[in-house]
Amino acid sequence: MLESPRLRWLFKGVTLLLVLYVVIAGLTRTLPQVSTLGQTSRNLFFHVPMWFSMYLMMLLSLVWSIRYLLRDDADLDLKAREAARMGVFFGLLGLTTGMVWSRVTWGELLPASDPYAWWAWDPKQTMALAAVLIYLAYFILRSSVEEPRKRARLSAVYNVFAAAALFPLTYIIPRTVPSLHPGGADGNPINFRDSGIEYRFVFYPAVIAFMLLGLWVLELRVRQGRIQRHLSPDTE
Amino acid sequence: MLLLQAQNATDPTAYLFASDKIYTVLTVVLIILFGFITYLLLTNRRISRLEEELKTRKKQQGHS
Repeated sequence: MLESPRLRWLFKGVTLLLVLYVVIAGLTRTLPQVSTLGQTSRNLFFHVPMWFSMYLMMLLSLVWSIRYLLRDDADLDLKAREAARMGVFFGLLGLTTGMVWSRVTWGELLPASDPYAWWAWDPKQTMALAAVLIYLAYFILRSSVEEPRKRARLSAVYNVFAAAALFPLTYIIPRTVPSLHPGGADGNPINFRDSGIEYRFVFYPAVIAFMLLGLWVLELRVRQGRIQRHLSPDTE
Repeated sequence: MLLLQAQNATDPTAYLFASDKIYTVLTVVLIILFGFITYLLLTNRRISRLEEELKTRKKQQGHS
């Protein structure tokens, strides 16, 4: 984490301002229509950044896990664990916000048997669920090993495989098959990029804002974990 | 209709009803956001205090 307190508070100030901007502009600015989404297109600014933030957290977790395997430092294991935890949290938020959004907007694209389904078995949606489950298994693995160094080593190795699966599952596979999500192989009518540059004025800051917010919470969790480990070493 | 008649013409919260009431949504979200930010700042302060406490305890043990 950053060492200089002033720099850290600068980051936190920027984070706050960005989040405020994204919320206010995201909800009130006039935006061009996207397909049949109506005002729900604003969810772009909140649902998608959840996944970007998850990618960031999992990447950090991977880096710390690899560094742990190179240098047996329990602090690296702690950071890898907390980053993975934040990633799972963002993933769960992404899944739930996605379900709410899709139930309302995918209606006509869903099978006639249940146009208001909460779960559409859409490829990207299902792969995202798979990814989150893979990372939940990371935590189950951790809780099953008693000895701290063995636990850290095993989970670091598992983390490498989990991270390797993340991008192919959630990004590559959904683009190769027909999908209800934008970007699938069948030229989905929902397309934000072609709808107008206005979305990008809020979307890019939104991705950064939620990433920064995630990093802020991560820092707090790591510091908390360090205190806990100080008070009772070797516990998970 | 009844609501409009009951409200004073110079109601300072009239904007909440404008533009499909989006400003009501915005206000709700901002309230939640400020609540969360407050929690973050309080947690930050609590952790800083714990870290300080641990540091002074370490120093005391080092000297004794």
